[in-house]
Order: sequence, then structure tokens, then C-alpha cells
Amino acid sequence: MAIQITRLGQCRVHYGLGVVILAAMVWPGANVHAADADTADSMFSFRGFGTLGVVHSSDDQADFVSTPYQNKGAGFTNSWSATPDTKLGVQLNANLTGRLSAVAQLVSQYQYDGNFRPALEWANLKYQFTPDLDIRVGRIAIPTYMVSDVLNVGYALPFVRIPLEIYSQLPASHSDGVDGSYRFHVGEAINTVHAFAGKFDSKLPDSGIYHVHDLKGVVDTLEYGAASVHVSYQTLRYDLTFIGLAIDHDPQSIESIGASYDPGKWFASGEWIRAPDAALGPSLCWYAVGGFRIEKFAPYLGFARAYLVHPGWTGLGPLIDQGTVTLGVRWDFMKNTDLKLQLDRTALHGGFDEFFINQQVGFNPNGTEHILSVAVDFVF
Amino acid sequence: MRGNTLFKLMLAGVLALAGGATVALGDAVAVVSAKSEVTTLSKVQMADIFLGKATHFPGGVTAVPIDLEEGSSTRDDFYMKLMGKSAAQLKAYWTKVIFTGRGEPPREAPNSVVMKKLLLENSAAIGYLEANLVDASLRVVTVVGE
Repeated sequence: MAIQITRLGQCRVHYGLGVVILAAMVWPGANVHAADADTADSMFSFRGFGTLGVVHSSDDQADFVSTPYQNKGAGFTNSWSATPDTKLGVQLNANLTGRLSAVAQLVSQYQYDGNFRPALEWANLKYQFTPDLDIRVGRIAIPTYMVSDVLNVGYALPFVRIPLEIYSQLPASHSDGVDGSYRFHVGEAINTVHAFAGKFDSKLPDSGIYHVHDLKGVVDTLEYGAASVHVSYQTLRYDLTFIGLAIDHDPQSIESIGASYDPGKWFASGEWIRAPDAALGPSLCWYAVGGFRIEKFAPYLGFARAYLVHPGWTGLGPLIDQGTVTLGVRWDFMKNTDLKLQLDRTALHGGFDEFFINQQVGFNPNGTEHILSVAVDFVF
Repeated sequence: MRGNTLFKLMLAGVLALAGGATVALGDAVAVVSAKSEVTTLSKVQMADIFLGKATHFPGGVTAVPIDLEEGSSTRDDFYMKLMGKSAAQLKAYWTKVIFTGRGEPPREAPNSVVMKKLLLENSAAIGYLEANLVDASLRVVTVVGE
């Protein structure tokens, strides 16, 4: 098997595992078919999601990017750019036995080296002890924030992308390790406790790296009907080499509390995050988004803010110090497909700014940016 | 024509009395096999079963939800009445669950005939049908708070 236990509680997943799982699933003898049939009866299911999006930035003195892993975006390089939001993901699930299942997800999106090479987002084995208790081993999604576990899946989000103020405090989109989830009822409410441990390695533009070690966390989600509350706490150490910065094994912890309410006709959610960090100093961020639904349209309004409370031992200023007002509308214009139009107005407050890169001499670190996004999200 | 409508109205009225729930003509009602012990669920309990958040009925018996196919107006009516979600909102919910590897949507019946068959085959199964398709082999589940 391609999973090697390298340390207690930590596993290293080779890309080979995903390829093996994918190959096994598309084997001609396997009963692979699209998910909308009677999936409950078949061993394998194949599904996917994607976004076709274009972004325009009002500022030609820097490139707007939607993740710190992208090396160019909209603004300086091109006035309009498809690279920030366009992506495609495929997922294969296999029910191996009644209790053991495997999942592999490949996502193709614009990366640090300027291409859309697919990367293995998840590849894990899940053992279901009871319908309410499971353990997963391999590359797994970690539910750091309410919106972050589906950050690649535009169709599952009310907006075009998760607020960048939140993304800036997301240590990893996935983790190589283990997690466990236990769900129980408290009266009519449902409480889910989720604990995870693992690591995350990634590459940044210009030969930068971001490695997260000793990631450990616990997340509690309480749901009652349309209401839910999400609380998380995690600790980690990270190495960061990026634009002259070299940080080794810096301890960080992240605390978050969020709530959401979605009775159907309207929805509202918000989250508050505190991230103490020895090297870069403690950051605070929050967002709030709300909207309502009229037939197939769902207009929304969001606010987000991220800032550094005080510098850490490196003495560096904030990686991100900005506030954004987001106005947009989602239109579910056909089955399994939506179209979103979104305008973000971001006020910069002098941070280094990992989401406005390739900064030119005319870039104003205290300026106001206007970002227009049009995206079509789909699932299959 | 008029007689037929009157008959349907009367049938709906009888079903409403029998089930203790208010049902309008053509409305989706939650149903189980008449052999099932389940008679009443709260709105939240019913929603949790169909959203995959609860795997048992209150009291501990396994619950197996069955959906009608996507695009069915009975399905859309059931979810709108139960939790105010449109077909697209429900799809967005399942998209989130599926792509976090946390679950699978209920098994789907292609039509009400298959739905009825699946319900009769398994007393743990729970589904929904247009009120006028419910017969003595099935029981309408009262949804408290609807």
C-alpha cells in the first residue's frame, strides 16, 4: 500500500496512491457511472465540480490572485484573467465493504508555476465503525472554518470564492494524516466532534515553500434545523520561505467561532478567527455574509476584515491588512449550474498583501481595489 | 371531471383525518410502510433523516430515506414544505456533503410506483408521495410543526 506511517499519527501519502485508486476505479470491469443514478447500490461513483470564471481588477499596478499559490492574476498581467477562479475537480468514491470506503479527488487549478496541472486534493480510506463514528487515513479535507472544507467547490458556496481575509488564515486546504468524527444527538440538536492530526506541504511562487507540521485540531459543530454553530481550535508549526522571508518551525494556533442560519428564503453566516503566531504576530479576521432568495436568484452582501494585532519577533508588518465589501448575485439558471456576478471593494491598509502580487512602483499599499468577477459553477 | 375532483378532495380529507395531518390535494406527504412503528416525527427530525444527519428514528430504529428523482415536482414540494429548500439549494447542500466525503444522498426511486415498492419492501424505509397515491399498505407520517 502506498501509505507509509512515518511517525505516530502522521502518514505520508504518495501521489501514487491517488493514481492507483483512480486506475482501479476506471478499470473496465468496474461499474463506474455518473452519480445521478442509483448510487446507493453501486460500489463506485464518479462525480465532479468546476468553475469557469473571469476576473477584472481596476488596478493595473498589481495582480489580483485568489490563492497565495498563484503566480499571476488579474490587473497588471492582464486586465481580465481566467486564472484566479477557473478550476475543475473530479472525485471517485469506492464503497469497498459496508464499512470501508475510499475517496480520491483531483483538482486542476492555476498554480505557483503557472499551469493547471491537476493535484491530488484528497485520497483517503474511511472506516465507518457506526453510522455516527468514523476514522479516515490519508489525504483528507480539514474543516477549519465553516466555508473552507468546500473552498474549491463554487456550487456549494453562496459567493464566487471564500473571503480572502479568511483564506489568509487557512493553514491548509487538506492534511496528510488521520481524522475522526463522532456525531451524537443532544435532544433534537446534532453535535459533531471532529479531531484531526497531520501535515501539509505546498509550493509557492518564486521557489517559495509553505510546510505545515504537527497540525492538530478539534472542531465542534452543533446543528439544529437550519441553524448551526461551528467552533474550532488547532495548533501547528510551519516553515515559510517566501520573498526574502525564512521562517522555520514557527508555532501557531488558530481559534474560530462561526454561526450560520439558512431557513431557505434567506441566509446569514459569520465567522470570527484569532490566529496567534510567534513569528508574524497575532492576526484577527472575521466575515459576515447574508442574502435572500427570490425564485432562482440569490443576491448577497458580505463584509470581511483581516488585520495584524501587533508584529511578531520577525518585526514584519502584516501579510494581509484589508477590509472587503462584497456585493453579488447567484443565479441558478439551469440544473446543477449557477452563474455568479460579484463586485468586491477592498480597502488596503498597508500590508504586504499576498492577494495583490507582482506589485509595480505605482501600486498604492493603502489604495482601494475593485474586483469584478463572473463565474459559472457546475457539478456533475 | 367534477366528480373525480370531488372524489380526490374527499380522499384527501379522509387521509388527512386518518393521518392527523393537514394535506391538500396533490401535496407531498411523508410515508412509511404500514408495518413501520413510526407515526410522528418533528420537522427537524424528518429533515435530519433526509439530509443524512440522522440515521435512526427517535427510539433507535434505523431510518432509510428514499427520494424521488431530481426534477419530480412531488420531491420539490416535499423539501420546500419541510425545510424551505429549492431543488438547487438541496443540490448545493449535497454538493457540500459529497465533496467533503461526509456522506451520500438518499437512494432515489425513479417514480412513485418504485417508491411504493421500496417502502413496502423495507419497514425501515421512509419516503414521500402525493397524498392521493397513499393506500392502506402505507402510513402517512405526521410532521409536527409543519
